[in-house]
Amino acid sequence: MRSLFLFTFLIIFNTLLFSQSVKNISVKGHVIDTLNETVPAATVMLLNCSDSTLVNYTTTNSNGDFIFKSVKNTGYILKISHISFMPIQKNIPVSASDIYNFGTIRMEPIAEVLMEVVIKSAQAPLFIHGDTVEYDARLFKVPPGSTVEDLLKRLPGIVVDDDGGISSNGKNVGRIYVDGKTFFGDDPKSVTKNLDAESIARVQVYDEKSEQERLTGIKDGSDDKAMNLELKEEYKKGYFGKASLAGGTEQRWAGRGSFNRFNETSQLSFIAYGNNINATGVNWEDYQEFKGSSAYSGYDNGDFGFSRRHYKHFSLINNSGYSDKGFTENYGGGVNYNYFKDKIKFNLSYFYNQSNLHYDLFSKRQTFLTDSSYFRYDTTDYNSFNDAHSISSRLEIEFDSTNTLIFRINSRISGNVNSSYQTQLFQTSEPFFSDINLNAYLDSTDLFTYSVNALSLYNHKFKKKGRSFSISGSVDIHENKTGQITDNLNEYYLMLTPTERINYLYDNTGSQGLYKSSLMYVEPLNKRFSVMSFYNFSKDETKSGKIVQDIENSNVLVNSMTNFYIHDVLYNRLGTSLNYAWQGLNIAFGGAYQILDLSGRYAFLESSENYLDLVPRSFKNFLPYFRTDWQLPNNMRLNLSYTYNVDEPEMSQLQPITDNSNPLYNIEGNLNLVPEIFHSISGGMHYWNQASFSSFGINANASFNENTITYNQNTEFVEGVGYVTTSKPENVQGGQSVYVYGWGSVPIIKTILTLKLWGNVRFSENPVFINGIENLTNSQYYLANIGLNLTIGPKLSFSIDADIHDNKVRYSIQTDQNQRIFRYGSSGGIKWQFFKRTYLEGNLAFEDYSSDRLDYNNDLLLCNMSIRQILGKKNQFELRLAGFDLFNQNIFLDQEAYKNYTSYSVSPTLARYFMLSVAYNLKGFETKVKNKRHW
Amino acid sequence: MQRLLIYILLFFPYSTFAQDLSGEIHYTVKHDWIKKISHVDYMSKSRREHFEYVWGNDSEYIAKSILRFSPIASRYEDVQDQSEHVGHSWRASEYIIFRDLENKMSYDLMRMFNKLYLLEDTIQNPQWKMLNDMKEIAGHICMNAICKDTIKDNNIMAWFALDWPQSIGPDEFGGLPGVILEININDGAMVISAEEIVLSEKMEEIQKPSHKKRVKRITNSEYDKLLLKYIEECKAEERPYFWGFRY
Repeated sequence: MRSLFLFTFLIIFNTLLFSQSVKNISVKGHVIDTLNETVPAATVMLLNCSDSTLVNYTTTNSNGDFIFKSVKNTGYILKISHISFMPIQKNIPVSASDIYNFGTIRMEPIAEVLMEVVIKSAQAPLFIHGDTVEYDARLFKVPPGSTVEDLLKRLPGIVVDDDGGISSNGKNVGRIYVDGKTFFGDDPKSVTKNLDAESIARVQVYDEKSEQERLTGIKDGSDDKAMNLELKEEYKKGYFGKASLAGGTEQRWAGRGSFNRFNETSQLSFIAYGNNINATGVNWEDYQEFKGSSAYSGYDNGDFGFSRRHYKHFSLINNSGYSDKGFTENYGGGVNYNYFKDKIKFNLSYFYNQSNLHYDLFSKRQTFLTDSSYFRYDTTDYNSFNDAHSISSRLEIEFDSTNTLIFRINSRISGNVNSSYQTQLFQTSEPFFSDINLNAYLDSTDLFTYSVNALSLYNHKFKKKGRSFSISGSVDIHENKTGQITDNLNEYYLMLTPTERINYLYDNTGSQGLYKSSLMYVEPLNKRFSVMSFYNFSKDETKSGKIVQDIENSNVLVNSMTNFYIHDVLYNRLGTSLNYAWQGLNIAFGGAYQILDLSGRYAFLESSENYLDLVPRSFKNFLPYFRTDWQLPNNMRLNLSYTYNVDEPEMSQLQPITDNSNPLYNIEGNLNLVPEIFHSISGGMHYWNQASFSSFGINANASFNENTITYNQNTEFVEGVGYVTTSKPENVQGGQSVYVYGWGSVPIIKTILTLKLWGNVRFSENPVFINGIENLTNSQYYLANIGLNLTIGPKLSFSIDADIHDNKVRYSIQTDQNQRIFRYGSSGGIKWQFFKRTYLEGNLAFEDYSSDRLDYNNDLLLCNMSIRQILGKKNQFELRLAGFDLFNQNIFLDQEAYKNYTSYSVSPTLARYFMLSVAYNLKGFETKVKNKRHW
Repeated sequence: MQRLLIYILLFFPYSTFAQDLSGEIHYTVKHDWIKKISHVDYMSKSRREHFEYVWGNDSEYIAKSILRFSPIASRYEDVQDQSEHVGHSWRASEYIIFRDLENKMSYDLMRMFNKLYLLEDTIQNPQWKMLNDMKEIAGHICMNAICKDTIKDNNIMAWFALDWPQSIGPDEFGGLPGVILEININDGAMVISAEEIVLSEKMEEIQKPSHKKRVKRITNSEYDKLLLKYIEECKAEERPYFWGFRY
């Protein structure tokens, strides 16, 4: 025994001693194939034993020899690879001599069929594990519904005979495993005939050791192969959802829920909400989650070229129920389905929502005439109910990389019932304050609308890079029906004959058919220049009918207001632009020639036989266009553009009739209106510094108008009635505005304290004729906002903000009425995770509204506070107690100065209430304080 | 065997590629920003899932790049003319990776964090772990190897040509027994894949990147420090880090 120990010790010692003495060794060998031919140009690698990392490499020479000279004697894995042979690996132990010679190494060829069919034809990777070769079966396409047998028949090297027996490269496949396990017993046929080919990801074929070999280690020479079918990973599928319910004081409540299911090719989602807290049931993030992958599709615009006309985005949710005045009660819900596979994207959405709004509004308005002014005090009691069913669908087919077709349809049926009761007290200020008259106005309307909009868009890219052709066509059909009753009672205080009553019943119908088509062709001239040409066609036929009956006068028709009109607006526009695009600099300039034709017919009633034609009018314009943007290397972008737009008058403005349902405010039409023209220049700059996290930007837009359509006003004092205003749309010269908007964000202490600034300036000049004298209302509006965000660790953050709004308004006809409307405010917020999963969130805001002219000053102090607790193992539950408007001061306030009036309005709205809510989230709530939101 | 060799010579015309070639390799670079975001583990999981749910179908964009090489040097950069649709051009970023293979020096000009840097140091190749799979890329049979970028926390898989023993590759990658024809970072978040190989008859001279503007010279370790500092700041701000520099 002792001698054995000694012997072993000596051997180990000797080896250690020896190996330590041999520091560097050479490794050599000679590579041949199974036919004893030498293998040149094989890659020979030395890998680290522990982690297979590459240490050194060489190639075999023309004689198939390789040698690594002077490598550290630490032991390696030798790996030899060649494009035609199965890679092999051999161990190199710590060597006793300074040359480790492998002698001859034999490489097995990779079956020709694998090389040719799998690698070359199917472009599939070959995975080699020892003697096992496997490849991705998904690349061998079989028709849907095929069995594994159908798939195997297509795989290289595999033969399936008539009886269902399988062989691989001539060798029998005796056993089939599925994910390494036997399946339905031992019969391979039960697998191949029963399993769906679609479920297979990889096919592996390897030498099967027989039971005898496994037990004894002795090969029995059966040479059978085994096959393993690796199943596809479970399709990417899952679901998520949220639900919450809240109840509070003042009978406040809110509830909502959403559920989404998805897999690799589709998304299905449901959402429902209801509340009476003046909130939208669906915010933007909820909406994105509801729409899923189609949240940003549907912005397809078939109006090619550079016209901004008539592009309206369809919003699935018609009126989400938000209101800053009064009180609302809202309900809504919808379902969305998205399907996407290969080259097809499909979306179908339905949404229903309804909203009930009630408010009381008080407003005070001062109207300036050429040399005098009067006041009007309004109190309004308004109730409305509206609901809408909306359906939208979009299909995008990418036939191949050069042809794309989009088809989209949006439609909506909506109803609106509203009633308002308004009293207007008119008062003179000079020579002394005295009431003139009180006008009581009741309006009850029932509106029903339906609309369908369908668009198809096709794009073809030619073989020549950059050459493309697009065509679009769309139809918009819109119909509405309104039943309305207006009841107007005017009490005149300055005379003894007090009242006049106008009580009308309206039956209005309207319909619109808008048909559009556009073509566009882009031809590249060279790498930098291209020419874009387009043609737009648009035909808009609008019908409107009014039947007005006098209720006071036994429902006799009011002839002056009863009519039926048909208007046609026809656009033909042909344009082209030259585009330059190179290294981040893009310039386009061009122009379009446009012919706009207006025509129409009218009659007393739609059923009338005699229609009279309106004088057809045609307007021809050349529309110049310029646009450039430039991307500088340091994350700065600049842009500048000029557009020239022509807007035709609205149909209601053109009808030469007078709406006198309110005897104190008549609105006339004007057949002679010509289109408005806008010159619009805009430019901007954006800068973002990645290193300092600071960014700033500025945008400016200036608009100069010609033939501005404005409602000129004639107000006269009529004895026995009061101030009567007649308003009529007319073209006037002038009208311009400049708008500049800027923002910046600068970290003062990086990641902790950030300063945010933004503001805007708006100058505008609006001409309006008051009693025949031109008044230029000049408005200068300034807004400045400064804010600080302080983040103290991941659990506590503060924010403070301050803002100032200053509006100076000057009137050219009565300079002593010039005024300044001033508003300022400040607010502060806190987010604090003060215990494990307990959070405090709150904000305090102060706002001051004042106007010297209308003699009011209002301060508001608003405070909201909430505490919430996340519960449950996976953070699925959230309990929240919130107090809104703790000082009970909230009220709607609005102040305005425009044209020849200034006003302010007040309306009671939701004030102090407390709410307790419970929420459940299938995926669990976020436990981090959300104080960083950059994008 | 003979038949197979003839066959290989017929169908794999580059099978006898030499080590001393000059030419160009044109790559397509496919970015998948949703996969990039999925890998940013310091951003809230629900937010990453939200992005994937909404944008998952529309998250890829493709750019083009080029590797010019000779036996003694290589130069990798973006192709200036990126636009598939003529009409709008984005500025190709300043990012030129130059390898002096003779002196084993790297000379990389890159714009990161709004500054132009020149990284000048010895070539540092990743610790490649060799794998055993084979596939064809641009006419070459390739084998794969993986490595880990511990600073950017990226898992990288490279496919190198078994029949072309030149130790070059796209971007900062090299050091394998063959030309790297594909790089796949984080399971498809960014894939650089060879599309076309153009060989030159004569030995091409590969230009060192030149720069008119002022640059800040840095070494490999300074570069690593810059990235680490930036990534730490991005973590605090919960911003994705990958918009500041090359993925």
